[in-house]
Amino acid sequence: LKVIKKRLKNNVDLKIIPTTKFKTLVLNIGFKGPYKQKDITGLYLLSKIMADSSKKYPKAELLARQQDYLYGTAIQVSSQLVGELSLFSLTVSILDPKLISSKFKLLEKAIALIVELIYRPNIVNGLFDQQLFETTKSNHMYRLKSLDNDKESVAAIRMKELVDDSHPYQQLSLGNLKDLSTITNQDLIKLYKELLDREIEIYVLGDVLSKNIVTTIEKKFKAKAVNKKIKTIIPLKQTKVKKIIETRKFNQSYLSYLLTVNTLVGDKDYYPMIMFNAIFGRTPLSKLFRVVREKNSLCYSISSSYQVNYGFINVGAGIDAKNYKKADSLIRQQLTLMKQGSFTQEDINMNRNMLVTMIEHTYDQPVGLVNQLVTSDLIKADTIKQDYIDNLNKVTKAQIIKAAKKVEVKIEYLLKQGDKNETK
Amino acid sequence: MKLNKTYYKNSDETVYSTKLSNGLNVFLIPKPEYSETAAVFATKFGSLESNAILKLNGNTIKGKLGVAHFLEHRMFDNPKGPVFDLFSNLGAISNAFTSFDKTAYYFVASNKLESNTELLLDFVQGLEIKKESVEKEKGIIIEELKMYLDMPESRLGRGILENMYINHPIKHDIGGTIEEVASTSLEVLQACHQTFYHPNNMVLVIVGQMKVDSLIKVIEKNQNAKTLKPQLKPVFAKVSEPLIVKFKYRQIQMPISTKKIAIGYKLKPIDKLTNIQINKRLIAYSIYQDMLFSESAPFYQNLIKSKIITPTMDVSAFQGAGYNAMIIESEVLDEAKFIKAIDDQIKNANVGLMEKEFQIVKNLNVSEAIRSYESPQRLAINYMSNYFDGVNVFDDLESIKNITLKDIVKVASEIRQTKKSVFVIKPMVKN
Repeated sequence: LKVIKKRLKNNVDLKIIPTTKFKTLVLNIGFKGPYKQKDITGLYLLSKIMADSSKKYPKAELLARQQDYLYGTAIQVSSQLVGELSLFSLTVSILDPKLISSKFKLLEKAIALIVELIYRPNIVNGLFDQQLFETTKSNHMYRLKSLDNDKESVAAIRMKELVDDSHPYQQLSLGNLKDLSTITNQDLIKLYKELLDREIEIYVLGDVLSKNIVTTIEKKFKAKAVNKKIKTIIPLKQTKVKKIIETRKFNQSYLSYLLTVNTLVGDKDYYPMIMFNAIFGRTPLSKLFRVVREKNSLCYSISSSYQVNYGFINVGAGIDAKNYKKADSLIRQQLTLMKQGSFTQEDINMNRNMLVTMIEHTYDQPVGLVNQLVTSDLIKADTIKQDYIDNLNKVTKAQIIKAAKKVEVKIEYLLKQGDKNETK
Repeated sequence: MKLNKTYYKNSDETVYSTKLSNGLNVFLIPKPEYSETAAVFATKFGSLESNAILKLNGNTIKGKLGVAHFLEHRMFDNPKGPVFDLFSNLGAISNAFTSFDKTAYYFVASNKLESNTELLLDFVQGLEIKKESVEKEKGIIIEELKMYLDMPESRLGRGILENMYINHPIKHDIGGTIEEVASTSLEVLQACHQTFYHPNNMVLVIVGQMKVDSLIKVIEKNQNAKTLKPQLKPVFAKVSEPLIVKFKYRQIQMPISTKKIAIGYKLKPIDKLTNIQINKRLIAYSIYQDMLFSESAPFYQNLIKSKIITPTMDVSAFQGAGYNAMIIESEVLDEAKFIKAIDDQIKNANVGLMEKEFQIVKNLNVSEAIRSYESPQRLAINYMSNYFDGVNVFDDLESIKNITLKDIVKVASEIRQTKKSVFVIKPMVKN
């Protein structure tokens, strides 16, 4: 797999990944820029509005019908936050045109549709169609409220609130109800205009080399030549140790932790920390899965995840409240055992094999692969699969123990099942 | 042994297939450009068979609700160690799932395909568990069931089936109930294994990077070396399911923010059709749904604009032995208007005049079919699942091509005549 990189005359950074193995072509158009906290909700709304209509297709059903007609050309518009960077992107997957009649000109039509969505939005007299704006806003309100229905979301949001440091991790890319209530159509117009002034990076994956893709992209897109360095790697500081218990009306409880690891992507301990996290809780071979779930039958779901650009690990488990003390002590005990080096070379090998298979799996899926490349590039992680695998292979047990010793439990949060809601 | 080779021109895929002497059907679908391979080994045994009466060593054993799912969980306990570990040692990721009528075990690997395949066959065909291991698993499964109890979507799907079906076991949760799980014994698991995990009742599908010739030899050698216990014949209590629904309307409360609704249409089961006919029917349902209810249907967008629903509506149809249903689910802001709008759309939409929509939706279905062949894991699971349903996934494109608007008109009139049921989850008043 090779990535051809080009800086085009229209200032677009183009990355082509030529391959014949998929039945899909993927285009990812990313607008990168800084953001202010108050804009997050608006950027999210804008992504919904742009995905729903345009000048030529002013109604959602017309746009959706055009996508159906273009052999189910799927367009996902998303607004993500990575550190201090906002990534607003369109991910488009198109059926490989060689699988249907060439007379249809599928790629040309699909690109025309993307250009339409980006450069000819549904703006009437300087504002987005008012009904569209109102409906999108009210639907988003329901979406934000529904986060309360799911205990993992509730726990994740509470965890963000419990952090002392003011950090991008605390922001939800969906935004919040408070900002949503005051947002205006004018605000979105302003955000849309700022979007067009951002840097643009385009990824193209698939059997495209013979298709003049470079010329087409050069002709159809335009970007400003801004090259501001925006921080995507920002360590999360949490000095205070906290333990919080709250009650909500659920049938099951959710126990979660935030652990600082003092290791960021690119650091010397980065790969050892990836291995630590795998052995500790990421995989079904991990200590947490085996001990808390398999040996002690305390839960069905348990896992840990490493936020490599923020330097912390989240652990979460769905348990019964009556088992809380036992689950908590077992989870903490596994961390202590990791620090003491109580894991085998076999644990290392097996978990490493699993990470390798996971990355191979990602690289065998067209949209997954493009997303992986986009994110890895943003946080300066390895984008070449073999580099990642080689680096994992070099990690030794001593390095993992050293990494484990840097891990500290900082926040413990129990969302307890109960008859009523109690927040402390 | 004869290996049959079939090339499907429309999708540019080749399938090698054979039936081994012990009755196991094997399908190999090579994808030379991929690094990974996915293999699925599955049995036609799901939650619907939980009511089987089994005979083990002369004793009669009654099935338990959720027993297929329980057995799936427990297969991962192997005398050589946890199965996840054994696969991981060989660089593979393994998992499994249980549905209404299937239990499937699968792995994805980027090397050591042949050893992984043998491991898959060996662990699924050998059940060597102890009583303690059965007891230990109960806690995990009960937490899993409780997790679903807190998930509104899961409760909605469950609730509408409970509403629609009077006797058919599809009204039960795939995982069973906490009480039935707690009283599941080692013997019933053993009896189910000997009955349903016989090669005659199973299929092996492998998709991705592979050397076909040596792989099939490994599979054949592995199977020939095994002496399997004779297949036990289960007895099923005869279920007669009337076409009326159990509850026309029912509601429950949950701590959720917005009301959720499911409307179910109880269709006549379609048991006595040929494979191609079933395939065509399933596609006709899918096209009908897309024409009337998808995002490209003005109907759906109007519901959103009129603040009757949030953009969460989903329509699905499914069928199997003795059941066939179409279900519409959504978050709803105005329940009465929603029910009336759906009624009107089903009653009044003049499908026969929607030629243009029909052609466009056909394009969409062509692309969905082709894309479903793209991921090894997805294709392996789809191929297996369709095989048990009597359908070949690679016939989809041909079926789509052959479908006419008349077929859709027929589906529409059939749905018009069915009994409807409504299930609602109301937000609980917050404390």
